[in-house]
Amino acid sequence: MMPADSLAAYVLNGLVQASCLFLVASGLTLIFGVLGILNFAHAALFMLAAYLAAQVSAWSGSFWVALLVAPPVLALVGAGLEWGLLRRIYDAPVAYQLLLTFGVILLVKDLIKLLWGTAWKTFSEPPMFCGTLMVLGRPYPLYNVAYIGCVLLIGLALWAFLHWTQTGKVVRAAAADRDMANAVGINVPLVYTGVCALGTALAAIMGVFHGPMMNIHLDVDQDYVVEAFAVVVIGGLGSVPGAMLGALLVGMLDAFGILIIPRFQMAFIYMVMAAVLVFRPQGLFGVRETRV
Amino acid sequence: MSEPVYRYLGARAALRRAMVGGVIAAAGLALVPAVVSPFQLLFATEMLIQCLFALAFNLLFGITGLLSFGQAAYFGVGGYLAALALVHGWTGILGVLLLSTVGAALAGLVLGYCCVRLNEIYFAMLTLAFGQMLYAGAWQWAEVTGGSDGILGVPRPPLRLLGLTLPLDTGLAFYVLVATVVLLATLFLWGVATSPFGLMLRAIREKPERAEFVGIPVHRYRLAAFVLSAACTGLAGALVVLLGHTATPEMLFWTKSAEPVMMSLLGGAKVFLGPALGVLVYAWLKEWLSSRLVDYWMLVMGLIVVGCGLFFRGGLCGALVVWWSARLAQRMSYVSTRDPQPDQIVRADGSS
Amino acid sequence: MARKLSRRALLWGLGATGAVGLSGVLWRARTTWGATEPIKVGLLMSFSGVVAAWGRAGRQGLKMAVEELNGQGGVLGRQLVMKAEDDTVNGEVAVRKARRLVLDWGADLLIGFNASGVALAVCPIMAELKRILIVPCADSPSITNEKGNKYVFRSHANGYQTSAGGAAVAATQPFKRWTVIGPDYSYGWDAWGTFVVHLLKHKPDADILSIQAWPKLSAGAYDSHITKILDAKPEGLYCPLWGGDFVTFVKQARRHRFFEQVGIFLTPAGLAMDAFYALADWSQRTSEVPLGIYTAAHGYWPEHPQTARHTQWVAQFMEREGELPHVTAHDTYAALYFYKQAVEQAGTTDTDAVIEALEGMVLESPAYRKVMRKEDHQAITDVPWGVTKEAKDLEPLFMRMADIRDFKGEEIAEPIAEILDRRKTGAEPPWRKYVIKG
Repeated sequence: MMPADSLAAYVLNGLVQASCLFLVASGLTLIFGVLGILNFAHAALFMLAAYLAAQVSAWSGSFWVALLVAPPVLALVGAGLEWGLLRRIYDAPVAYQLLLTFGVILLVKDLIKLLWGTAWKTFSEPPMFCGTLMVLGRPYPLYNVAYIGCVLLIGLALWAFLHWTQTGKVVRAAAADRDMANAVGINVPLVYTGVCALGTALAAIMGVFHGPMMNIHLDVDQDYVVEAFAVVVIGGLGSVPGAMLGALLVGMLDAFGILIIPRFQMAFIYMVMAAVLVFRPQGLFGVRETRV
Repeated sequence: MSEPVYRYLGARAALRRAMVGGVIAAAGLALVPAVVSPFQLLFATEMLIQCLFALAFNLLFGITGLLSFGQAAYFGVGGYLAALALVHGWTGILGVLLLSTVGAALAGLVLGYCCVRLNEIYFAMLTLAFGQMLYAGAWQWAEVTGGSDGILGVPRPPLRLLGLTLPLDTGLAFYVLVATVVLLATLFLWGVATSPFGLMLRAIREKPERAEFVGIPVHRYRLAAFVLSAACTGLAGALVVLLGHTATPEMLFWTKSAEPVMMSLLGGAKVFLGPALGVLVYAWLKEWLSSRLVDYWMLVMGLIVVGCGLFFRGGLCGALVVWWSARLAQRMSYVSTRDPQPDQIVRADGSS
Repeated sequence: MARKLSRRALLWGLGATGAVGLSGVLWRARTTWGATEPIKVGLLMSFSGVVAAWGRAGRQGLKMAVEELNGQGGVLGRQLVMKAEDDTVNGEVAVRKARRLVLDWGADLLIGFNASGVALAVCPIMAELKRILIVPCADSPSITNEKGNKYVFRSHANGYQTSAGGAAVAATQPFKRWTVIGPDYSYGWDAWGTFVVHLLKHKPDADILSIQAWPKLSAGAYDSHITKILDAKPEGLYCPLWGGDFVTFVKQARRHRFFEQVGIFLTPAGLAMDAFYALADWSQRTSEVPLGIYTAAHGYWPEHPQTARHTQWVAQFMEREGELPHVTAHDTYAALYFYKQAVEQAGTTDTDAVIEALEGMVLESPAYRKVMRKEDHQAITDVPWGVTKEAKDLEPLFMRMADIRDFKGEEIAEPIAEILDRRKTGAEPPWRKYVIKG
């Protein structure tokens, strides 16, 4: 049996992974739930945010300024993307969504290359989160714990927004039935743009939070694109609580997998995704019709 | 129906069309080595294999209406099977190709069985999941698959057919093999697409519920299409491994699965050869762009892809069809506005 | 109505065409008369993704060598022309680009790769293309041992040699429990395996743990690997992670107080110049590079050796590029000079003649002397190992590799008899058995 401090460390590792997956997946699932579009370029936007955060951090010397700047800028990018491109493919088959968003990935990658070249970028966490915390007598990164805490707050805020505020209810209405929402007088196009902006802002927050933990280069989105989809599928397309639970599950699998099945840890996550799709396609909290 | 129409229907007519098409294609392919440089011949070989990949994908997408995000799985299965066989001393190339085809078909049977019960988005997600699963397996099962390096130094033994031994180590010889295999596979796919089975698939694509009401076992037909598509994809994978002497896990990654989707959409999914056109245009464009704008070709490519997605829904073929029918309509309207003048009418008794 | 073509019109027409054609031919000839065919050098490295900095360094080094040689009148009176292509750390892409460079562009020489897997994929292709490949970076011994052929040369110390030095350093310290965090592919396995082989020679009682961490190349998250390794309580750790992976690992491991919990930490390629740059914090004037860890910086450090020639070369490089030279820049520079010397000795660029000239060639590269061993085409050169020390004076790194000890090339190279024996039997390298994936 594993000693308690090790277990705590693994659980915390899993929570960190879960946090970053939740931030990416929640945006993805919101965009799918409301707009009906699978945005493959979502992870590429998180990468753009990470680069932007590194730049802002270098200019201002502060992590917090980067956190204040990057999400709004990316929200604008997301809104622009929706207005310019995604608006035209709402009712198009999934294939065109793939085509268009794949094209967007290429554009975003080269945009990043144009602005920052192929050099690596790094930046640091805020000084108040530097250092280690003693968890059951074992040093554990303070930043990781802060990360988990912040994301928990964001998750709660998101849930509160969707369930207790007027705007949030409007968003959920538009997700449930677009035509009816339009008939009732809700400005559906505006809601769509807003949701896209929100989703992209969430991905941007992930980019800012995750930046200090990694070396930022042009391929950082590779790992998250499909894992984000796995989380969304497991949780249920369109469900934010589902994204939270899915992220938790995948994050824990990521963390404990190295211990239990180090050989096929990567494959296991996709096996779970496949199993969910085979046995319960709508995921944990999904709402859509799935069968032929 | 009037007599002339009969000539265009029926199996014999279809066979005749296939033969004529095949002969023309064979002639075209035979001309290629004569006009291109050795490097371009290698490039052409690669493009032919990509065409096969895209056409096999389109059997599922354009004809059966199933969008698969995980065709790379069968590409990789075929490729790795071929690589493993060759590295372990198999010398029969045709046997290796057969192994890849059958292996990929089996994989398609097992995985497809789970997939065909789901509709659009969920089908796509499941194929993606399976593709990534196999990718992860190829990456981490290093003893068998060589891990992230893959299987390297795969030999290309000579072809042994009817007692003759034909060496394949020159670009030309390999091109001939690939062209023959791809042509035969394409004719097979064409046959499937235009057969009654293919018509059933199209019916299923249009309205699965209606097909079900009419009594067609929708899942079984879809599964059959899936298996055929996987088989041809596996064959393409084996050819690619023979071309580059390597099998790497990237063959199974989702971006590889996205390639035939893009090619089919760019070229036109409704036309049988549309994906092939898409491959040619995309591959040529990519090579040309990446050597001219070495660092920023992705930007231009992205713009083209996005533009195509927005404005050219039917792909290149679709655009061509639209243009052609517009011209045709124009010409026909021109003809009909020219009423015969009184002095040109010739009466039955010969007087005007 | 057919226009009759008069004979005069026909003659005029033919004459005009002929004149245009002839002048065109003469014009083309004019620009090539007196000029000789340039020597084409193709560079195939990774310019994107997690090891992008290494490809960039290679391009810098090659460009410097090409411009220097061209300024001196070229090689055998012929100017040098270089072209760089990105292999995207993918063997399939590398094979295609290698063929393109040789068949389409006409490269006389190929210089590449950073990642060992990619190099291994292209080695058999060199025999098909009949061109020389000089490898200035990729480390796995297999490239010149089992999987090599007569066309492949390496101008850089391989993993076996680097690990030999590392093991010698490790053996001076009293630590006995050893494990590894390395990238899950041939380079990682070979680096660790060769290290264990050498360590056991010095310390037969060393305890090689079965709990090892093998994250995949470009894994973004190392937290759980770190936890797993720390749970095993190793005293010594060998870390073949490199490129962006090493930077990510350091950033995450530091927060776990990883480097304080292991007795000794060695990395053969992780702390190369790119990592020093990436981990330096200009605004705080410090570096996130952990103090007191041992590194070979992949075989090169710009401040060492402090010979006049080397110092001058580094100064020239800094003037050109505005940054300190990376090991790949230095070894790519050396690779081209190997070729230059061989071509001048052979008197031709014909591949077979150059191969013969390259075998046994001695090159005085700016930092070290390199001898190209005949039997396996591996350069025998000294390998430095040092320890990280704070360096407030060294901007913009604020950290340096200090107390450098050079391990003699002849002592650390694998005995040729062993290599030839394995080639004959086709056996796997004996050190792979120390890789335990669990």
